Amino acid sequence: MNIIVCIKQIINSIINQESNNKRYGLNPFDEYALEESLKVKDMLKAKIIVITMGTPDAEFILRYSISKGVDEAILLTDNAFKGSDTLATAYTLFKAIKLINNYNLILCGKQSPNGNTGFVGPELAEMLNIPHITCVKRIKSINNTVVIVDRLLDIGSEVLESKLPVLLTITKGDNISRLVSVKGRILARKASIKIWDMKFLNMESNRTGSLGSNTHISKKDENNKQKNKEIFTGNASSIAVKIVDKLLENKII
Amino acid sequence: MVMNYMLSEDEKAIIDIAHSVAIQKIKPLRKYYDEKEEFPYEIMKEFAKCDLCGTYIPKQYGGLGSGIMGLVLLIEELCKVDGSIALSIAATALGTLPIILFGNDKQKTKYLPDIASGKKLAAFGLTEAEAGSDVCNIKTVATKTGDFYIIDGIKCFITNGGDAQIYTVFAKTNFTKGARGISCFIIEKGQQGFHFGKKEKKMGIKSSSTRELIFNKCKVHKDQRLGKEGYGLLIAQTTLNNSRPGVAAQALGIATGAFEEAIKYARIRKQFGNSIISFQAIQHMLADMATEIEAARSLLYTCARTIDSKIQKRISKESAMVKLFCSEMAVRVTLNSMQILGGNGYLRDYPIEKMFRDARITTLYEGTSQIQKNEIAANLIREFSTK
Repeated sequence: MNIIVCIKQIINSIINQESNNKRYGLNPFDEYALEESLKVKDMLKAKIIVITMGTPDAEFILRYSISKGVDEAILLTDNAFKGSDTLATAYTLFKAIKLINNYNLILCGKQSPNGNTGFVGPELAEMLNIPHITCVKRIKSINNTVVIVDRLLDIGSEVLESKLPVLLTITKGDNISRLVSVKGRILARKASIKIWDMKFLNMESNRTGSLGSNTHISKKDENNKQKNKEIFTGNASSIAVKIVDKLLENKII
Repeated sequence: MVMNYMLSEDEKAIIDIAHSVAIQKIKPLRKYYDEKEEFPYEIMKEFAKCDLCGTYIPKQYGGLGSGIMGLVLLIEELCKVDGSIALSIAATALGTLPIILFGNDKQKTKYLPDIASGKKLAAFGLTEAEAGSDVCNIKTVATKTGDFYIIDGIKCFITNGGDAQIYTVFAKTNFTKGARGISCFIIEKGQQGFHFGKKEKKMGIKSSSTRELIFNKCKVHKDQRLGKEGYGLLIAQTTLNNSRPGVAAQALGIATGAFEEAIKYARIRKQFGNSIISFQAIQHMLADMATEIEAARSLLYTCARTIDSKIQKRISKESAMVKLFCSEMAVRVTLNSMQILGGNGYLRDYPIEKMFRDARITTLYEGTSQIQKNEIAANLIREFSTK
């Protein structure tokens, strides 16, 4: 079984315990995808390759993946990739996966918390001409030909079956990330990371980066962050009471 | 905060991984295990998964080959959060060191890989009711009959007793030869004639099990003997010289954990309109604690490195100094941390009272502080008699 996991470095919203680089971290949905791939490897003989497209410093999420038990890591990096939208990103990943050319299962995070599109996985599957299932919270069973998954719905979940190869986008399920072992950490430090650029991938420059992107960000409104924000004032005990009241009111607790 | 001790990348990896296990797996459960006095099997599994069981075991037997330094760094980091759960690894190291130091290749191949992988725990069986520091007074006897020894006697205060699978046990093979009449044996749990006695109820280190080992006509093959017959005392002393830094690391870890709780508390606790950390009385206490902790750490790391380098033939003085200083320091620091937390430090809602209870044992086991002083003095007398 050959598994490819596509991962992405993001600006850290939650402090990643394992990361020395506190500013950046692994996309949490990718963390779930990584854990699902490792669970498959626990069950049957599998080789896991992680790929990321990003700046050279994204290497650390690849080493982090190796420390968890991934076998091989590839960094797609080139100045020409800068400004890629989801389509250009998917195309770059597609070219890399075509080069690897040997896979049964591809896993992606459901989305990234900074882009929030959830497009890359499905786009990649279409380019590869393989089926895909989004919002998978658990791989229930897998063998060399078929996978059965739990797919998260608004209410409850559904069980889907697919032939391999298939691309799954993973969301939170029973896939809380495992701890890194000492041997894993040592291995990751010494592991060699493959670095592939546009030339190596034999890509047309008009299919990646901002040139290859159909969508462009015309304006960013960072003030959105302020929405729904409420500031409580007073002493600690009165603030605590107000917060609890608010949480109760919104049925959060 | 900690000084740069020029640790290797592998050593830093041990600390990092130990830290994440301590924070994510031990911290949420430390109170539970302390109050229930349960052996933390679930956490042992995490240690095994993260390769933390064999840091000191040579690489060819499945360990990390980081020596006593690797053990010390691991125990210190885990004990910052809980001084009791980490003890199961420290006590395993104590039970394993005789095999590492004196085992033949067959014995090492048979036992070390399972300990390194965390599949099995070990324990050290020396102490008896009438033979604590006075080791030569042990009454457990090993009578040779053909290829076997028949072992009879009772060991007490054995850490990991009942929960470990592998025991290094000391018994008299000759009552007339005194110090040269003791031998060491590897005995496995489940062996006929080997039972466990009562579990002790302790002040601290409650998640660690302390039991009696009872040998009643326990038949052990001579291949299970470590080293030559009559070399038991040498094995015990050499083991303890190597293992005392482990106890010191436990003490240092607990002290560091307590200090961190105290300084955190001092920053947020307000009295007379100010954080209590702004009061010089508190500042001086914290300064003393931090200085003592760092001094202890420097001595401990230097000693561990010296042991691993094998430069120095005799290490008993330094090993005793480390254990003496770190353990006494830990008692002072945990007490002063409690003082800084005031009444809150006395409550079981805060971790300090547990840290104090756990720290207290370190001045007692593997030789009391007074025995360490005897050891240091004996070495001083020997050194200066030749000058």
